[in-house]
Amino acid sequence: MTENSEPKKVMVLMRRAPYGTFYIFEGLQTMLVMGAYELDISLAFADDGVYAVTDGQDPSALQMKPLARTFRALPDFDIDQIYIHKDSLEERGLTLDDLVVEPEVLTSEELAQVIANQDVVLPF
Amino acid sequence: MKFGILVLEGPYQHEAADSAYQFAQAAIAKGHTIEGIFFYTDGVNNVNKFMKPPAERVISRRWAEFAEEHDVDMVACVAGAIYRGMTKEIATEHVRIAGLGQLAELAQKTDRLVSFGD
Repeated sequence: MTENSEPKKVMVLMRRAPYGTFYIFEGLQTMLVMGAYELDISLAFADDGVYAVTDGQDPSALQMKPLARTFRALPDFDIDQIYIHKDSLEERGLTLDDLVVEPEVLTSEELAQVIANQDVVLPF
Repeated sequence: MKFGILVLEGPYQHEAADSAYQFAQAAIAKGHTIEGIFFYTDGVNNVNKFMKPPAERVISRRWAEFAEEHDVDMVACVAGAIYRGMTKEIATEHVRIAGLGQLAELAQKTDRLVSFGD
């Protein structure tokens, strides 16, 4: 890094379904590069973003790359601060058993607090 | 305050592309500095120097003039550029085509990184 200051706390906030737009794919790329630059990376899923980490995705008919496989490998990239919004999960009838990651489940208030503690929030 | 700007949407489609520019101008008018502009995803299309809207603001030229006047580093993401056929020959002057690492550095060295997207 060019500065000697502490690594910034950067959150990648996934808010969209995984294939309707390219945002989730791009957020994933951003997160992996930021992690390589030793920023303090966290990842949060809210709204339709919770669908990005559901198991059983098969976008082959769309000719798009599957994303869940990369999410499953996040511990290999030392990304271990993973959060998911409780209401967003419940509103969509999902539970932790449906996911390819093991996130910490946060209420709206808790998620707001985690977001407030970041230096940078990148919405995708 | 030192600002970094992230542009995530393309020109003439989404207000974010214009808001980023207006924000950058307003920040400088208030005495802040813009450390860099990072064009990502469809945002890379904002720096296409061949855009020619009739009797309209020319978004790419506007950015080039902004960078020239205020000595601001502008980067179009290389991956986003490759996906969309944006090359050095197509990009307006004062734009570098470089990797997402530049965004990481911008995040690290600024007081605020402001995203303009949907």
